[in-house]
Amino acid sequence: MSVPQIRLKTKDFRAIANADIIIDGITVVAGENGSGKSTLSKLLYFVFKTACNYEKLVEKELREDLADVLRFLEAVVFDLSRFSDDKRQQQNSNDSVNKVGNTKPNFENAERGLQRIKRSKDFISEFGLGSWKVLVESVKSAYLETIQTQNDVSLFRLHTSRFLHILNELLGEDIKSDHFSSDLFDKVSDLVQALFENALVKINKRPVELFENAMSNIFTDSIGPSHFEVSELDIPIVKNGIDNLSKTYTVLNAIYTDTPMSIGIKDSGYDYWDDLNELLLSNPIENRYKYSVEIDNIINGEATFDIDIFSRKRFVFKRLDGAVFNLLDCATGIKSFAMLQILLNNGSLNDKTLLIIDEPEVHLHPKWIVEYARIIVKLNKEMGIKFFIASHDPDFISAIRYISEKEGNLDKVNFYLAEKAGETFTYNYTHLQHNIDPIFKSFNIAISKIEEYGA
Amino acid sequence: MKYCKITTENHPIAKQYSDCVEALNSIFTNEGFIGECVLFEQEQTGINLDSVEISISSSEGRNKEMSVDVVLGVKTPETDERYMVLTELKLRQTKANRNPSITDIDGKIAGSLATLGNSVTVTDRYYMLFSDDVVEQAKNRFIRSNSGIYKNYIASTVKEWHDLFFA
Repeated sequence: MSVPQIRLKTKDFRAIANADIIIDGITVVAGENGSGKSTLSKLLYFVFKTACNYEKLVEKELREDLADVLRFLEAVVFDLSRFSDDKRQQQNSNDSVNKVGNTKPNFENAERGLQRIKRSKDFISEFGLGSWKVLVESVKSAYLETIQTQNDVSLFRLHTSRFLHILNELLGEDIKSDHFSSDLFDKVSDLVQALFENALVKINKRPVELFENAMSNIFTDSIGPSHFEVSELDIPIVKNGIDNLSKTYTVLNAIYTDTPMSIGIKDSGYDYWDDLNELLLSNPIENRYKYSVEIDNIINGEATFDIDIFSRKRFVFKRLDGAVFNLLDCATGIKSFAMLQILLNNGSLNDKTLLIIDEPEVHLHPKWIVEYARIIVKLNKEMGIKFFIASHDPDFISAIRYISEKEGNLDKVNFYLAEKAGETFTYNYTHLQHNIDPIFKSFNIAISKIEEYGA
Repeated sequence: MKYCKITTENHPIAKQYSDCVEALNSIFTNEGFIGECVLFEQEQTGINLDSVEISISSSEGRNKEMSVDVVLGVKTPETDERYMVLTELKLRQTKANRNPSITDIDGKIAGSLATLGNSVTVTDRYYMLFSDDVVEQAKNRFIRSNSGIYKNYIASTVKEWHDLFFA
């Protein structure tokens, strides 16, 4: 038996008693509601999201921390500007020749430094540790400059006690000082240095805490699994007891969708919705892949986005007859295909992609369910995209099984069924390989229910 | 209803084409039962309706009509009422067996009813026997085609069928 490309093992986590899932091409899991299918999807997504984007995630964390520092420095400079402006006005009225009044070079330096960082697209890549330290130093100089020239001692003290309060929060420690002093800027400088150094250590060592933090944000009500391991070619990417996340090779980007309704929803509160929308708004590549064009023929049009008069991107559906609709107002089934089509069109799907889809059949007419399954089989066969899919639909399961067989990639397809673990509320995932009949047996329970209630 | 050897072998078609009355084990083995079928007792027989139809079409000089594979005589233990049961065997691992055409099944039922005539009532529950690894898919398919006559198409395994008529 060949080594699985991806293997997820977990025990005693939420509804999952035991799961040992292989992903070589297309993996389909079936099981009743509440059996842990979405839990598996999310586990896989956040493992690969973290492992594949580790540096970006550390940078994001650093960016958020530095944003706090920036807010503090802005608050200081803004408050100092009140005293500075007063002084400048006085100077200007006394000196009619020097109307501009360049009396505060340090203050203006600090203002310029802040503006530059705020205007930058990325204040990590464009401004390294050195620039940040210069900025802190310039704000310190502005502070010293202002303190020497201000007249209203009591008002100034009010402001500096606010600085002290903010700084306490920023540093996360109780500063043993009852008044603000310029020395405290050195602590800010030390903080910035520590943030950069910590980020660098994290990027080099890849501690697992980044993944654990993501998990605790998603599964707020759960204790961790007794066993958890995701491996690639038999080497753990993440595993209980191992402190670092490995780098991945077979999967370099993971995408997760649990509903086509997520398209176009901004700041949803779900990381994976926001991640998906960010991807969907990437610019299209030049040449369309043939299965994107095939989707045109299924949904009678093409999904894309245009740019409105305020330079905002708006998802649209261009019907084959030339009519253009807001995609968000279109049928949900169209959105299901649109999501695949847009991801194909912007190059987000390739042989290093793991596309995780919960119940793709929902919202689709039976005819489109089969078309959707066919596109998935083709994308796996011809582009090497890996799929992890949870499904409740007999037509979808049959279509994946038999179309894969016809296309010659059945050996990369695995089916699993979640079955109750005794009298508990937990489930074991049985590996069915290519035998989908046990899944149908579970579906057929519905028929006996109809006979029971309707006959 | 349980299997009745007398009802099976006394049917006019069985009498007329006695060569086509065969041991059930033999019919099942020839129709793709995995290994040699020994589920039934050796004297338990059924009418191999395909063989009957071959004989009839040959003597009448026409093409063979479609028919089911095996016909059983059954009787109700309580009232002694007697019926014939039509059964199609889909045991071979072929695409056609895995995903049978409802139209073909309709044709086989119609052809079989015409051949058997009215001498003994034929039950309106028609059995399709599948191998264990596809039977649930077949059940699902028949149930979802559940309009009118299809309601009477029953997908089952050989064991379920055996338990129903022989246990």
